[in-house]
Amino acid sequence: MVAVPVILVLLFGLLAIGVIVPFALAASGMVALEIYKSLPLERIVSAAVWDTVTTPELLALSLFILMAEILLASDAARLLFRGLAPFSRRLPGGLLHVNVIGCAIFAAVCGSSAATAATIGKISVPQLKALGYSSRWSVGSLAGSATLGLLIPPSIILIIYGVLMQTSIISLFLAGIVPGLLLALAFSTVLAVFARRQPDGAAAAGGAAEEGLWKPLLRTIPILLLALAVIVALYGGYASPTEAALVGVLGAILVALLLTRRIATLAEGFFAAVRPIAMLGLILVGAKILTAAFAYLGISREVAAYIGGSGFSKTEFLLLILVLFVALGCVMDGLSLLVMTLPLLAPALVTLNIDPVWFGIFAVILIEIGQITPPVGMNLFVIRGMTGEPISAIAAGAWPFMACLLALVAAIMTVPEIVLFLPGALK
Amino acid sequence: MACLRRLAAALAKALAVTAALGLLILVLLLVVDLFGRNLFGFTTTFANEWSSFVNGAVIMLAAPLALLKGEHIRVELVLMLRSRRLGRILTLLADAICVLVAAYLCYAVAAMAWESLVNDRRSTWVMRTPLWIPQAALAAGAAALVLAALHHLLSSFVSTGRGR
Repeated sequence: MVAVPVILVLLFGLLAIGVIVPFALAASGMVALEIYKSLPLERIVSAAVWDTVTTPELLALSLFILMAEILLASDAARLLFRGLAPFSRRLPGGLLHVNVIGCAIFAAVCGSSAATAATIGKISVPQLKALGYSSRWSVGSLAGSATLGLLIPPSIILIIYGVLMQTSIISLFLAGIVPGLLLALAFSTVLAVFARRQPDGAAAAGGAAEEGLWKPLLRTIPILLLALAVIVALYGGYASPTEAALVGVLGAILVALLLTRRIATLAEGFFAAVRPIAMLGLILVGAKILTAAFAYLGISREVAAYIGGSGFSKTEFLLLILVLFVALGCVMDGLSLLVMTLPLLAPALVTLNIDPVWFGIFAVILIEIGQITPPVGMNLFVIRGMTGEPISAIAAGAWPFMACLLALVAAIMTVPEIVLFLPGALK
Repeated sequence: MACLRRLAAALAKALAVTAALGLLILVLLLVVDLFGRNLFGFTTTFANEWSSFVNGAVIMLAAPLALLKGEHIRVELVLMLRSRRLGRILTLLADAICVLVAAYLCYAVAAMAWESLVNDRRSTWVMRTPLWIPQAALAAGAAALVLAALHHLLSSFVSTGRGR
């Protein structure tokens, strides 16, 4: 296993000097293969690129990103805020619940935590500020709630996990539902208990409150129907993830045309979508090259043998992963962390008989914690960009939500059925 | 130098527009397949195969613009901590490594496309599509990625030279 420290030092060194993640992954794999194995590197690299970018499972990733970008371009989030505001202002904690409910609903049509934070926050934070809500709770609840984007399907990171681990994406999506809903419920409970004393919010959302309860909500029906259509297509057994994503794209096109009546909105959505698609695709290429290096150098096999012989129990291993992910999540982006560590972790999962679907949800919750942990939590940066609030203040507001995430980790470790019940029941 | 940077920016944008059109074609291919199968009872033999190829092309063709727009993730913590002078030198080094990696990816993909063309390699799916066609699209994206990485390197070089 002499190659492992070399690869890790190289990888962290390249990342530290600012090499972009896909190239740092690819370079580490290529250098290791060149040093330790006389193989035709060019063929390994070209096969990794070709196999990765033409994987049929990636179609769902591209389509779900397109769906979210079309909705972002159509300003659907504003409609969602206005529809939810009259209801949530009656709850203890008032309009702060819009962050939780809005993020949970938006997460069902968008698979990214940062995009969910940016979209819902763009609308909710200025409104909450104008109405005199505590800034700490406004930005803290947004930072926490936006992490639902990773867990509530369709989740981009779960698709990437599924592709890398060759695990059923539908099972992963199903497994994310109950923890996602539990988390949303926990977030709302935190707000209702600890942030109950908030302004009335009667003038919320540009006068939406004066329109009564139902009128603004009725306007959100197209978005709710879209989320429902994707869910029914996926879980009703009618469609594969790609087909469900296609239904989502067609629905998003209809919603965008209905809301904006501009074809240009669609063009904006298509043009905006290609960049994140390329970004994620290239990361997967880098991860594939690194994984290929691990496989050719026999590292995967050796890691499995080491874990098997080390006497690690399942719980000890998972606690180690928890500490590793939370610690590394403080200094690096969650997606990069996942693609970097999976090639090493995958054989250990097999050795310790850990269900890959369960582990996917476990890892995603740990990544969610990283999203709101300073200094480089992605959600903290997105919200700082929008509000100008210091990272420390946003992180301070987010800690009760981080506590919910940690409680969820403990819960799924104690009762794995929270994650595995739905995939098992609907198999 | 300025000419190269303009060329890289223009090429990256043109390829990203092509990628967006590719995404539209991908959606249309899948729509034809979905509705054809479920409503009209015919199966398209080409949709699955071509949509995967088009998706691959979308990823590689849009990668240069994503690089120029700073969309690719990098770890910024160390960038924030280090001194200005050291930071500029390390950024130059990082950008140079990016050029090298992009160049190797481009070489590997172009060689694969060339071999497919010379040996008339075809897909194993029903349509038996000549593989050099989608692979050439990947190579074009990878070539533009090299230019985009060079653009970054030159920009860093210029700003280091000016002490900015």
